[in-house]
Amino acid sequence: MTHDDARLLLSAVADGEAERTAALDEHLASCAGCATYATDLAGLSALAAALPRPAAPPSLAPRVLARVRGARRRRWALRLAPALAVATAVAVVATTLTGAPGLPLPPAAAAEPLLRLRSLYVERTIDAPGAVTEEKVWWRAPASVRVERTTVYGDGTTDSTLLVQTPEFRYEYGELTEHLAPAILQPEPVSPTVALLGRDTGPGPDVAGVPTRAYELVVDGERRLAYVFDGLTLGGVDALVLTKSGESGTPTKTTRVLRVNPDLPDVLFAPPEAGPGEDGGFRPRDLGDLRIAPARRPEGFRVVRSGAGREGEAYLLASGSLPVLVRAGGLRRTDGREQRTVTHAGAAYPVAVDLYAPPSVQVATPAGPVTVSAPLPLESLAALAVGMYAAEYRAPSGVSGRTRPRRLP
Amino acid sequence: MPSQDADEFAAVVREHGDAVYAFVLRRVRGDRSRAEDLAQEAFLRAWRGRRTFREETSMRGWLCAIAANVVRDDARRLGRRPAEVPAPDWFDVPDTSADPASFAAGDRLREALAALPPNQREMFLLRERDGLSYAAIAAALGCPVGTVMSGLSRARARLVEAVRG
Repeated sequence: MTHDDARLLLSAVADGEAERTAALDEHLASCAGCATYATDLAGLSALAAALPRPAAPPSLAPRVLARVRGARRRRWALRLAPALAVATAVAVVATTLTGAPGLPLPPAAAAEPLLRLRSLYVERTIDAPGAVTEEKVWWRAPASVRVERTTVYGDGTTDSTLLVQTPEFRYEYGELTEHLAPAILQPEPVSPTVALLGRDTGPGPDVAGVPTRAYELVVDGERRLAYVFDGLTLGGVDALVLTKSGESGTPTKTTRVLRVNPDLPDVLFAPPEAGPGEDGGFRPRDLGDLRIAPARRPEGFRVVRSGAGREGEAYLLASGSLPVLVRAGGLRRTDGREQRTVTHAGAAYPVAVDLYAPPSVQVATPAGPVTVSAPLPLESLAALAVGMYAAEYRAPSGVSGRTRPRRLP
Repeated sequence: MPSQDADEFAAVVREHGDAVYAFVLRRVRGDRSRAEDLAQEAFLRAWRGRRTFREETSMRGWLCAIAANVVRDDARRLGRRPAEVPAPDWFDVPDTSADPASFAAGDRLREALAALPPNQREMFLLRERDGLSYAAIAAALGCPVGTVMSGLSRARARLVEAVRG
């Protein structure tokens, strides 16, 4: 028996996957190295048992079980989750920027902390008259932070999940009430995604006896119509009807009730204290050599955080009157996501529109492409990005029409 | 649906939740939120396919095999390259070992594990920490049992060497 054979067999024997053989015993009796190895294996096993292992978040089991127990009732809600995300994912500043020096930004959200939450929706999915089977709570924040909590009623099972999502980082927290403190609620008349990306096509049908306005929205190649109540107000009951023409050609339709719930305590409305520095895999990192510090900054703009994301990318997370996220590198290509360009001052820039994050635009700098994301209309976003990197900017040549984003030199 | 089934499944989730989550976390390179979503999806897929589970096999191995598929499907959906190369999962978990000697040895083990070929590392963790049988590891990783046996042996040879210091 060779040493390798002996060690292979020792390993399997230690795992109870093979029987000790006479040949092995013979070998061990005559080979001190392999005999020691047998002892070492036991020590290794003990060491490995002591390796730290991340525990599953406490919310995992309740989430699974809520779905298991409520699977039949919740089918619709699950299918429609992305549609709801459309209504909540993109933050709010829709004022057009000027591209002038100094980059004045809209005053609406001036001096708001990055994670200050702006509004709250409670969504209820009702599949039988009078029976509330699911409740989702959505916050909207200027950093396009998304917080979700789902509660399932009906069989007494509750599913509490709190999810904070920024364009690039997602943070998970525990119980809803543990981490949140007062913040300001601002009612918003129309879903910001609809406002940013939708086309107002005039009055929509009456829903539950209330007139709506119709917005057409094309996301990921799918055309959606959103009928939105005029005058969404705190404490009111509001409806959003989404119809979606699917690939099959059969329109799917649902009605959902959005209720801005005035009864939740203020304590629920402030950001968690732990920020990206402590969570979400965000690791502070010196960006000095990465050259993504902008030549000019928007008015009131300060760097909130910079660091490396979970895949090692460099980030600059900034907030002035609106959050701006800068990432070293070009746009990412993702399947099923429409890639477009936007024209600013005669040059075309690649942009990406994402269901779950503000739009991004790619500009070139001598150090390489940089991606800027902010909750702005595409033209304003391009103006902002070019303004920030104007000193370094070199106009890309040959980018026009629906050119796919490319790695720039 | 029979609530007894659901109760049994609740026990399964509690028993294997950590292991499945850690398995997924390594495959999504430490993205905890995504790991939770995908672990959840894996359990739901397991629930839907619970009739296909064979009693004589390892529940944890079966769950990990499903989780591996879920991660692969998700990566495909996102247009990312599937994370076939799992990352170590302890990078953000504090080591609470009190004994300095074992701390140092543990450190060396972690380093050596990180340097292992990913598939061998995964085999080692599934075996030593999750207690999976060779058959279950083979099912979870989609490889022959013989590969598990030889991979584990090679992994151990390198780790023993490293831990000796």
